[in-house]
Amino acid sequence: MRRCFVRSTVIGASLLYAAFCFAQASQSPSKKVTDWGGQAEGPAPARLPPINPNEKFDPHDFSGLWRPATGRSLTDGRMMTGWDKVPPRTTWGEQVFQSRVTGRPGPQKKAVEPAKGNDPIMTCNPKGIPRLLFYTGGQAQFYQIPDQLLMEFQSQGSIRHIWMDGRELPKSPDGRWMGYSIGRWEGDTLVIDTIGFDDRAWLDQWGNVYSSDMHFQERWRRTDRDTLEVVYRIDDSKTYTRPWISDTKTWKRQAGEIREELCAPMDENFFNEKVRDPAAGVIHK
Amino acid sequence: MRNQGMKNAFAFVLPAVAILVLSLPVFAHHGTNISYDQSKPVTLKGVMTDFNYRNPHPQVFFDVTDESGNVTHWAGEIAPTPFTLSQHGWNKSRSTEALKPGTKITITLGPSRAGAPIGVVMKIVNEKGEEILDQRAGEQ
Repeated sequence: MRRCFVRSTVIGASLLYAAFCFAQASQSPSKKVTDWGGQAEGPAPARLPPINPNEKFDPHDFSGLWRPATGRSLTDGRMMTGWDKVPPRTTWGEQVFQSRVTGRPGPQKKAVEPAKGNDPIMTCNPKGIPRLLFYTGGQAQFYQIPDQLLMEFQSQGSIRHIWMDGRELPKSPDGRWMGYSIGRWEGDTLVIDTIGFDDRAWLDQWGNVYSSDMHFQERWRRTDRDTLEVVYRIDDSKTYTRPWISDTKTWKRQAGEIREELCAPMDENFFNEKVRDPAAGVIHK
Repeated sequence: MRNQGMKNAFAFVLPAVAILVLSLPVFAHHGTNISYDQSKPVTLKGVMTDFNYRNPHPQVFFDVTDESGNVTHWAGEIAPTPFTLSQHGWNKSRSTEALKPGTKITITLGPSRAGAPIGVVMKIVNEKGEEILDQRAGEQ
């Protein structure tokens, strides 16, 4: 009995200590780093000060550096919803979905090594909108200027223009990687409507689909100094038999500066040739 | 009696900590883990030949010499991006200096499932016993 108690105590203490060490390591500041090698990003980002419960913020001011937050599951923040809420696809939507081969498994599709997939970003093609919104690995700087909200995405250095001057959506827009966006305020909710997509881009890293006919709507709210909440909606009858409305997603304000994260084909090709492809048995001769 | 109790305690503590540490997978985006098997990590002693601090994932290249003097050229994929590494204090100049050619390393990798001398890097330790880069920061 006593031995069991000692074992349990020791194991419990060791697990707590390991968790403590892990937490410390995760939060480890980079204060010892003083040589930034001439790069422009400067010192390691400072942490934001704690929020004062009485701290005021302007719910109509989205300017600043933000990052989509991840949740408990792998798909949180990275997909519209979990798989159980994906609307039934049309025949066209299903054909396109099944043609997309990726390293991410889904309930209706087997995953393959990334080297054997056909995700267009693996060769530096644009992520586009909406996919950039589902890339939790990068930040985005929002700028509010007269008549426009600009979103600068760290990933691929993409710029998105959201027209806030009251204009209408174009009647017959050309397809664009980023779509054509207009925004308006409904109370404290920023509503963004986007049409005119290039449907060669994937919705997310699982290869989910949208067509060039999609109407994509975002409803953003700033709920405190450091938090944006957003719900996305897809209306795309060419791809889905009913609208697809996302879970509520959270974006968190970030300290520091946006960093360059361009996809350089020469770097991507080198990585593919030397590492990603041979790791999967794909040999270049 | 007491010493035996301590031995028993350590016999449980060490596996518990080891399991905890080894169960922290190195996450990488795009499903990279399909290419590598982190459940069967291998640890190698090698000498750095090159290091690329570049997107989409930094890469280490190192040589491993066996007892017969045969040299195998290995490559390792660093799951965190340069952006994520820099957020944890491992900027380009610091990382490149720590892994410059000729540096002796002990490296733990999740090996390629295809059998190539390539792996996803789980841990790198230098001759002083210092851990290089932060492999816990790879979730994308």
